[in-house]
Amino acid sequence: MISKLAQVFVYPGILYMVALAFFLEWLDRKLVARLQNRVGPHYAGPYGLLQPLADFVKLLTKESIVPSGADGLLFTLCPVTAFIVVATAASFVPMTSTRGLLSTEGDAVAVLALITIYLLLVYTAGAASQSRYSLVGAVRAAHMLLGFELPLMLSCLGVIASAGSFKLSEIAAQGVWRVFGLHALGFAIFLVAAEAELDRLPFDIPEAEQEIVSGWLVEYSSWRLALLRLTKDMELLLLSGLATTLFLGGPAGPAPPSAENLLYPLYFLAKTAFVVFLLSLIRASSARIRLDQFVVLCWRYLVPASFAYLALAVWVV
Amino acid sequence: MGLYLPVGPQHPIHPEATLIKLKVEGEYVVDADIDASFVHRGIEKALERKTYVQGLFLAERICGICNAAHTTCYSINIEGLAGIEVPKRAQWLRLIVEELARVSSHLLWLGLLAHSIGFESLFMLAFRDREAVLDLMEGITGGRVTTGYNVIGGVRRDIDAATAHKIKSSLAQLKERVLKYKRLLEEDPIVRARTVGVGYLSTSEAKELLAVGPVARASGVSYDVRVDDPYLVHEEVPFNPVVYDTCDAWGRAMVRVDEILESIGMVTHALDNAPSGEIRARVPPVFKPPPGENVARVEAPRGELLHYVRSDGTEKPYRYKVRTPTLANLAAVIAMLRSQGGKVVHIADVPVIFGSIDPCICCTARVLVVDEKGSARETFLDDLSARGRAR
Amino acid sequence: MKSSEPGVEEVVNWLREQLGGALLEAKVTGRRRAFVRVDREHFKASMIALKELGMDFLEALTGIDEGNSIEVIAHVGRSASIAVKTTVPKEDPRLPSLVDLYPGAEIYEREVWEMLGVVFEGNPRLTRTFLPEDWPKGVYPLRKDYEPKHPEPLR
Repeated sequence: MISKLAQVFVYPGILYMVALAFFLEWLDRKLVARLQNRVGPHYAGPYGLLQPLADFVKLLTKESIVPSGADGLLFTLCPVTAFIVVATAASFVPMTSTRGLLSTEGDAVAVLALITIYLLLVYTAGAASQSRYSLVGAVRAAHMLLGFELPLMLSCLGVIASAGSFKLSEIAAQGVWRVFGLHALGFAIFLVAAEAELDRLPFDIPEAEQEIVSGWLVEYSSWRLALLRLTKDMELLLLSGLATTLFLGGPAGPAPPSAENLLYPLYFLAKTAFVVFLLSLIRASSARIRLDQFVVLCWRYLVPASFAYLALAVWVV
Repeated sequence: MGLYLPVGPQHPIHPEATLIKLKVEGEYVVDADIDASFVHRGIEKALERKTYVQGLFLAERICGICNAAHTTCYSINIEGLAGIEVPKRAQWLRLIVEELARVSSHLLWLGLLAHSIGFESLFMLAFRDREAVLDLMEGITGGRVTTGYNVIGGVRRDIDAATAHKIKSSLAQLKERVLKYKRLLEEDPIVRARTVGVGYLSTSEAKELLAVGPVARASGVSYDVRVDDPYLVHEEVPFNPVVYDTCDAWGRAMVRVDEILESIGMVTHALDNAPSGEIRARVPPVFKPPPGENVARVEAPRGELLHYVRSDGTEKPYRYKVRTPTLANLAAVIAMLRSQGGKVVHIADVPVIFGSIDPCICCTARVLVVDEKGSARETFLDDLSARGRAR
Repeated sequence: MKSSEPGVEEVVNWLREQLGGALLEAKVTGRRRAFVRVDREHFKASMIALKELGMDFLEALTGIDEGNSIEVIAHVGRSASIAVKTTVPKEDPRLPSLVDLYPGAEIYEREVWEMLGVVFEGNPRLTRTFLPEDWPKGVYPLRKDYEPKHPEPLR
């Protein structure tokens, strides 16, 4: 019983995922900074590794302001639910062994469904804030949903088809690298759709700082904002972890059976870091695309490409 | 049904406090107005209370980034009024500093444009390159941004051969980088998607709405004070005024980037060809120009800057008027922000459009006197919060 | 690429032709500078005459408080800068608006109205532009009789 609780909450559970999420945020910030000729996080901890934790703690000490026009219950419920949803989805991703913390038949589809629920919560959070900028941001988030959901799902389905299983742990157990040839297309589509889903440049339209001042999360402060930011980091972990499992062979790698417990998490970390590196590269070298241009991009290029990928993946298998 | 969306006065895109009142429907901007009243400092009134010599320092602080243009214009204005002959070398040196200030200002603007389209990397890199120019300014004048270089009668410091050599080599490196940015503006698909066709201002509109500077020159109106009304030694320094006819934000970006390249050429030419000699004409310590009036115009980085002075024979001006380029472009930007007919303006375009005129609101809003403290102030704050709640 | 505007002498001669005796004074003070004065009734006519000549750029509108009257100066021209001066009495500070000739003049007229109280008849939007929202009506800061009451800065 104790060990089950420890698994859920510490390793490879919540605390481990939170630590990984912070690490990936640090990695992203450091990479983008170096690409922009800046230093990035520097002072908090060695090489600034503790910066995301420091930001989280700092936010907790701030005053919590709820806009008077906001729907009080929804306003609080959205960040909490979002965190739970994303943490649950991340629990399905195999991080320390070929089997995630949670695993069930068809859990790849469950993860995708949970991602969609998170996006709906983004919209709800913006609408619950009842502020001009947050409403615009919420509507933009909903708009974007129409664009990138389909490519995201279809690229995952392509891998599922070629792997022959809906279960993430089985896909991870296969340990097959799917980045060459046909699957390069799927990987690229997944990366682009992941950037859009994570609200990162070039697709951070719902939170465009320069236009609508943080958009859907503009009214959040203190612990709610801390939780939302942690949720976004967990999302980064979730999506790059998903990419690792589907395209990069999961945590599996050459290891003597006794060292699996030690090496598999390291392999996972390395592969996930590589995916984050690619995402940061895209982020550092792009400007922000406009919403209507994004929708055109999705429906004119991404969706047909992802259908083609799915069809070919099924056929080739 | 339109939503009133205020952009400002506190907003990440505004380097100064400005309020752009937008009426939006969904993502489209239907109407716009600008309230520029947040940065007034009472400078025109203050200039009437300062002597001409003191007024120079006040004129320099009308705007931080265009301070070289303001002091050049002020000095030319007063020298023309009093008939002071400025030595040749001083005019060449003034031109060098003015063009370097133009390079610095345009690089800053390039960073701000990148920031407004979310291109953080270009923003960081443009500012890194601007550091080179700021170091040069410091080497010449002693100040990175506010130069304090022009005085009535000439300039304060000379440029020796070592500094001149450093300027030339630094600018040669900068030129390579700026050429890369120019290629980026021409070829990067997302930058083009966010700026081509955005903020459309037709040639006839630009003429009617009295646009100046790169805003006019990107709409095909070839108006550059350095060509049409040459001051300093612009007639002796070869350069090509840059005119594009795309009438959009992309054109304005290209105009400014090309102007950086032109200015680098001008500074290099001036460093090689400036005659030696005096750098400052003596002006009596109690300076009283004869009664009269004068108009001076200068091509500031943002456009045509006009100073008008009326003197009554005393040591303080009777009236000093400053008309800055951003004020002239405000009418144009309001027209650019409205969706009309086939032209549609998205909310996402607003920072790009407003930024494309290179707004310097503290130049624009000079004529307020801070006053009415105490009870009046308190009423205002209560009123403001009540209005905020009612909305 | 010099603009095709007429030179300063040509402009002054043209105005003399068009306005005759209404041109109260005209002096050319520099290679591209001239100051002309007209009375209030002929102000609009002189601006129309300048526009006919091809001077399609109004640079600025300046207002000066001269005690009993307010002088308004319109600066026109890209290459040469012609200043057209006119005077309005303080008891009746009205002038015809220039927005039908130069639509961009709207904001200049707003500024002169706000700071000195000159009413430009025909300006579609003569509203507060530069002063704060709680500024008392009828107080014009750039007039000579207005003394700002702010405390002197500490030394």
